[in-house]
Amino acid sequence: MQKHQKLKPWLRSLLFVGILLVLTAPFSTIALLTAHEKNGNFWPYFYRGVPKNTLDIVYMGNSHSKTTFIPEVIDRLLGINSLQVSTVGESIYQTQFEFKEVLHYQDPKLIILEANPIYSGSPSDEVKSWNYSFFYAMPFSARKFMNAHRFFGDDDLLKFYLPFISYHADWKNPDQVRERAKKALELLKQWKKAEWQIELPHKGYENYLVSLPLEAEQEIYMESDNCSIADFEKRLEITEAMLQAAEQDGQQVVIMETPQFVNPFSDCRDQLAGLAERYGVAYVSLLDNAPRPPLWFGDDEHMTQFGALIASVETAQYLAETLDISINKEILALYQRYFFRDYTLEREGDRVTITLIPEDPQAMADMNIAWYATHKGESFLEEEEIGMVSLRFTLPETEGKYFIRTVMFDPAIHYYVRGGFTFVLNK
Amino acid sequence: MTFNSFSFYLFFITVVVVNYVLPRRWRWVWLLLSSYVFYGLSDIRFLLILVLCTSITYTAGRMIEKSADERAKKRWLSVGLVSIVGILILFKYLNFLLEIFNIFLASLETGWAFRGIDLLFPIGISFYSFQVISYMLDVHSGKITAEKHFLQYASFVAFFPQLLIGPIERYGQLKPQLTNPEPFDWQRFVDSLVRIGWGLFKKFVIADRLAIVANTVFAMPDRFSSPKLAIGVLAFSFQIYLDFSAYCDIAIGSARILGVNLTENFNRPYFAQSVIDFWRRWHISLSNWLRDYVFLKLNFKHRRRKPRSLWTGLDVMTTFLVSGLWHGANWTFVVWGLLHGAYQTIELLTLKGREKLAKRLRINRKSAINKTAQTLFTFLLVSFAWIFFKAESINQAFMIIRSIFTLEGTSAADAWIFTDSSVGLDRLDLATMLITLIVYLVVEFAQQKHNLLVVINSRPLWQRWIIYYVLFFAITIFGFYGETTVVDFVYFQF
Repeated sequence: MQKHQKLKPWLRSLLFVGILLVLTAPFSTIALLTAHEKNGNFWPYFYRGVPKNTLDIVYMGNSHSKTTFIPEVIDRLLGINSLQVSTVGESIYQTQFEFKEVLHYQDPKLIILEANPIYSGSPSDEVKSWNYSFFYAMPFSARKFMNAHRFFGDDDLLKFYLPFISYHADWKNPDQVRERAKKALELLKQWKKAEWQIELPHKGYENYLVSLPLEAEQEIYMESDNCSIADFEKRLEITEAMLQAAEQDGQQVVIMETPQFVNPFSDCRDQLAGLAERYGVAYVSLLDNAPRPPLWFGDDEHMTQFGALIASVETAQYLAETLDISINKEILALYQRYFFRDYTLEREGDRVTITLIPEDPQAMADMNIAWYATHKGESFLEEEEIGMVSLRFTLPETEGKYFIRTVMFDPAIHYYVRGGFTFVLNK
Repeated sequence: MTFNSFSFYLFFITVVVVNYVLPRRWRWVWLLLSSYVFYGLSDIRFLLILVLCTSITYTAGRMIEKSADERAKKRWLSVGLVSIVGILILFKYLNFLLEIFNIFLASLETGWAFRGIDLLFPIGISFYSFQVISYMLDVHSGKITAEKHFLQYASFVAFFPQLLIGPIERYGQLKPQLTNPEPFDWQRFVDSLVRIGWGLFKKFVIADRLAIVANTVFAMPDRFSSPKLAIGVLAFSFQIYLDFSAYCDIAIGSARILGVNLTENFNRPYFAQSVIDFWRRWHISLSNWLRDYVFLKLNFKHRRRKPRSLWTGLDVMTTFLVSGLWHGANWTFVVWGLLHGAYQTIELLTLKGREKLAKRLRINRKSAINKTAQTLFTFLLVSFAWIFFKAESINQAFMIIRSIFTLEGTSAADAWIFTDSSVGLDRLDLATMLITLIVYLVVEFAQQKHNLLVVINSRPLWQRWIIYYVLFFAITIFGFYGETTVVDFVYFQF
């Protein structure tokens, strides 16, 4: 009886906390589903959608990587399983933690470490909680708790322990509550539809849809004699730590500069190259001597899918050589057949012609191509035809912003490419 | 690490768990260690000053007690007092004194001026220095015996729940509890959590919103009309009370969880019916300290001087000058302190006259109307004084006062602060602030008649839990923290 009475307060406390958890659970679920979406969408897939030790190649980096390496293309070419774990705006300060997670859960043959985070991204004291978006999808473990205290400041620790207080300022606004709940329900419905399998669209690849305008000026990078990145020494230390960890784990790493990154920091680059050499790690500049047509690039940070296809095929060829695995020549030829060199945009009065310039004009004869045109956000044209590499149309108005989207698809060969072009006419 | 930071609660949970795992006779050691960790996490250099003050006053206390004659006792007391006051002056008042000295030099047209020194300000020094001063004075007067155990004495000085912003404890009251704390009690634990929750509600939900309004208005007073300036002043009046009392709630609740009872620091001060009454209810530990170690000492010294009431008034003014200076090294605090001194001196001097007048006019001073009127009047006097407390300078304070009383730029629409975000909060936050402030005032009013904690505890379990859950969600949903503006406790600056 005494023992029972002694236990009572403890049981009451547990019940109290239990009810509190139940009451906060809907808010916590909504917060976890809808918060940290920036940069965060692939991590649930990484932890729950990819079985342990099944990845062959992992691409790490920031949006440079995310818009350059198309895992589906590389996988088809090499018969492997690869995944993008890059997050937008990432700096090496985040990459190091993601690197550890990758090594903890996977045993890839090779890790492509896209170089841009080593040169850019937030310095360590500016890295935000959403930069550790992987964290929220991490399975519950002692590691997770210890790392929480390592990564997070006070406010983010509070959100970690009490997820429902993320964006708590919104909870007192009924409209915001409705919005978030709606969004969370939609996500849950999607998951249920996919039978609770977490899907990651295009294995993390992000299509930077819109190509550079033809008249866009190519930025001229002045090479600097000195390494002008203030914290580069620290960044190198972190990179070295990653290379050491990979070496200990028996992982191969390749440091790769994507085509859009014209590295102005020659002295910094030399230091990084030196580091790579010391660890026997290749430092590769993808498509180094290739032309830089506007079609391939969305801006000076991102490739379009036209460019990414070429970069991905190039990467696959490099990987095949490096890892000594055979490349599927049939699929390789297929992709190369549908490369695009550039595009043109001509205007004669109120008539405009956009033309894609394929490497192999003959190849387009059997490709289904659709075009969609909008003006000031309103659609005014839709056309679809086999081999239609050129779109000619009459401008509905002689001023305003136009957006032309093109889609090339052939389900039979699993080929699907989307691109876009914009131009603005002034009065 | 402060009471409004999440890391404090992680730290506190650890302290509590270990505290109750340890045998009772060792708990003070753990509390001492925890207190030093707590303080050291703010800045490790602060610990040096804390240890220095502890060592000086411990030694002074021992030597005072050991000394055979009164002269030697006084000498040791003086050494201790001068050292602690010297440390306080060095860190808190040096630049202020240099400023005064520079004014003096300028008046002599010497062309000389001393530059201010940028010194680290150890948080809590104003509080624990008064605590150790009271220890030395109590040892000297024989009220307590000097502590022989250095570490036990150190635990009294450094006890973390009250280290940074008080309450200012007396050795005789606190130390026995540290070395012999109460055993764990569930009801006390729950009540303390409710107390902490109530403090967090006051701080995060109400005070921090009021702070936005007050800070916005006081930052650019020339941009606001009279009604909005008045609203800003009222906002500050409530902000400073809720903020400070919230801290005390958390401190007292935390200490109670550890089996230690701290002094209550507030007793519904805005329900005071005179400024004298206000000071019996506001920052009670400081008021009592000033009463015991400044006012009573002075008043005893001047007990034979005539006229008595005038000398008492002078002693009150001196006491409140000290109070003003204690709050900060700025002329605004001096004026604030002197204003309160003046209020109370006038109240004292006119007490008999007012009673006679009330009798002649047949005013029932105990009637509800009269009491309400007195309460409102006292509140207005106190709020008026807060203008000096909050203003950056005397000039700014006078500018605000002039604008309020001359109704500059006034229209009825100006007072309606919901129509714009000019006072720093949107409509939703303003409404939240007003509603929660009203809730708070209702609770305060109810507390006059009933101990609400006792009332809550008398309710069935399910009703109590609903109250706790409502409090929890009120704090977590309506609180200002995280991405929204985080406001430090006001009394940290002292």
